[in-house]
Amino acid sequence: MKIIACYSNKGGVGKTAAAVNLAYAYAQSGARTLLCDLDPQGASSFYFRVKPSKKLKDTQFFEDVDRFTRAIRGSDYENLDILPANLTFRDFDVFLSRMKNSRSRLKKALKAVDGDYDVIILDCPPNISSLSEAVFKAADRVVVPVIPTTLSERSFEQLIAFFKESGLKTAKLLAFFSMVQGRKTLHGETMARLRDSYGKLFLTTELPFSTDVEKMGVYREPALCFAKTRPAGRAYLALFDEVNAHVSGGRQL
Amino acid sequence: MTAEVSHSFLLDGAVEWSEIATALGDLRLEFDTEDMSLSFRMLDCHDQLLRKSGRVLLEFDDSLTMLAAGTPPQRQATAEAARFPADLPEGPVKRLTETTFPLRCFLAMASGTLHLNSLLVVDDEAKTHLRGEILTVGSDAGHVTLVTLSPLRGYTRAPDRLGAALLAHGAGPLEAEHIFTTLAPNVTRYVAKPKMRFSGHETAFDVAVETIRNYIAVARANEAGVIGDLDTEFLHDYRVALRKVRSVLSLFKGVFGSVQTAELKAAFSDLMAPTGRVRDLDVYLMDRAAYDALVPEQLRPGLSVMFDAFAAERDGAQAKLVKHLKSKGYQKKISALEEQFAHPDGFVRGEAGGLSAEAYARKLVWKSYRKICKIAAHIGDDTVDEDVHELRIACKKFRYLLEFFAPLFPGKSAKRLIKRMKALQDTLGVFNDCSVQKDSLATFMSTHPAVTGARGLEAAQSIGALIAILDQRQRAERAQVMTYFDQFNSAETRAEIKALCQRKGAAA
Repeated sequence: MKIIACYSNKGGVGKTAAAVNLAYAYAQSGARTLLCDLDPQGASSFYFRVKPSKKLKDTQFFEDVDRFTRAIRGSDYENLDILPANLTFRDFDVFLSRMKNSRSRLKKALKAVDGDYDVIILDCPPNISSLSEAVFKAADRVVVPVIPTTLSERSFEQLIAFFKESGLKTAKLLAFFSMVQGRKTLHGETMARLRDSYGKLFLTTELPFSTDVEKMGVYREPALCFAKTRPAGRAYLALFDEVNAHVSGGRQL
Repeated sequence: MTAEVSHSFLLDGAVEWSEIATALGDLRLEFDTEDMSLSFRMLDCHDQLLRKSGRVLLEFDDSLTMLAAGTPPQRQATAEAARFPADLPEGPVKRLTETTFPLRCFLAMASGTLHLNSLLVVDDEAKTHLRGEILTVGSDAGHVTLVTLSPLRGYTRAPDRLGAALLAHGAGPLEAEHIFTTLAPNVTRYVAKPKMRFSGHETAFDVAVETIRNYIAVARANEAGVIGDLDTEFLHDYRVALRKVRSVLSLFKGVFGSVQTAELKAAFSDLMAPTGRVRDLDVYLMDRAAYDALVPEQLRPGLSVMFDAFAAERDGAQAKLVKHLKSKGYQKKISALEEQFAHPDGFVRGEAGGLSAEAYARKLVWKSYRKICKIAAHIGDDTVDEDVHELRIACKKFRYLLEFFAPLFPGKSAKRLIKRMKALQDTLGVFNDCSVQKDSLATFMSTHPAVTGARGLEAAQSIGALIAILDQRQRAERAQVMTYFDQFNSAETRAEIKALCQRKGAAA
């Protein structure tokens, strides 16, 4: 089982859209996929029309693994389940450590219910200061969308610094440029500079700024469902291919 | 993903979905706009083993769907002109049918038109909670609707409500028997070994007549399959049934008058005679792979000379057999026998005919058992093979008697004894097969026109090797016979047979 975290220490960068489309692409490729909605602002479950479970607000939640597995909902797509949670930071921490421990009750419970998952995708909350190292430790790869602007560049540098201070492997990071507007000179220059400084950490794929991504909220479907052949859809597929190549053994950590 | 629990429902006729939809409350029922109308066949083998195990196999739209209560439907592709389980592409239906009836062909038990539709139950945000499939299956005889619900993980309201609504509209669990009797009411159940029920007040004559009548019916139920050459088991069952009839005639001594017995024996022997060669050839051809595996690879081409000759001979023998079974003479003979056993008053009875069946059974079984023991007592390492054959025949007679009279014995005592004899009989069976095959291979080698010239020499070498291997195997089995006999004839068995046969002062 592989864990992929979608993370950004800055909001509104297309993180949830990436998580939703990656999860969908994994499921379509035949992998049994669980998308965990851990970001109260992101609402990846909204895109799949899954209503948040009342049970999740129960403080006892993680003390009862059965209740966790019972909160999982099947999406309308084959191989794709959703955990529609609004987790607290503490819950999240516990969640990750249990997920990673192969003998944990959580994993056993997942196994018992649906033959385990091949891929778990985490749509993470955007908060670096209070974010536990556990997220980064637990995940096999951390997918980070970066808008090619000065502000995002600074956020990304802060993330790298955090990784280094905490003794984490930066090689886990899979950054990609998001909401790219080709005609903006600033975007072009920022991307060139970042690729120059952190070349290995950036994926080739660039997600274009697209109304199709915004329309996900209207159609309440992944962009890959309704715009597979348009620029945004093609970019998400390319992103999936790249991420998957890394996750299934590409870059050694 | 869908939850693992699957819910299957069976309804007679069509379903009023508008009424069911109202039971869903705030959830909405939606149907696939495309209603597919397809022709279908309901498949099973002649023994109806799927029906007996609570399964229904439907073929439609180039695929096979296996339905059973409590499990989700299993699907796989079919192959054009697939007649046997082995002809199917890999899949769950092939795996199941190949283990259940490897030698039997598929038969269409019913056919007609099937409507395939899918349903969805969604909430106010158009999120799917439940998927379902509706199969409306109709033959000339009747209609059934099969609904399979596949709830999505984490959603229980929709399946609970829809399930309850279906039950309220008369749905029941998926019962293969119900589907069979609705779609194919004229297909009678086929049982190769009919179970007989006796009250204990019958005479020996009654039991003999009833047993023979049942086995004539079994033989007749296989005629069409033999004529159509559908699979090898039709002829096998046909022959076994006639052999059982002949066994009753020879084992139930004194039940019919002696002339009557001789006449009947001759009549059934005549019926069986034209079937022997095809069966022998079937056995060779079915075991071809096993024979090939017995000899080294370089000797296999030699064997194929023989198998090709057998295959060619079988075509001719089968054509002859079909002609025989279709002939007026055969039809007249078997119908007359059928008629005689349906109205047995015309038979000349023997001195034992009026005896109580139960007392008669105990006497015969005891005598038969004593005979086995007597033969076995003389068998040692240097006894001639003929004695072992004698033991085999005596054991077979003993088993047949137990089978025929099983309903007269208390509980499952007869069945238990038969089971205990199995290892011994298997060994004796292999011993005999080897011996018969050795003889017939030798005959083939010395008389068959295929064994001439260079290829003939090659064939002779291969067959010679095979005979040597069969001889070794026969000797190995021979060495085991007494071990298995002692295992069978334990103190427990002896006590059991004694208790069985000597109750109420039966003759010893």
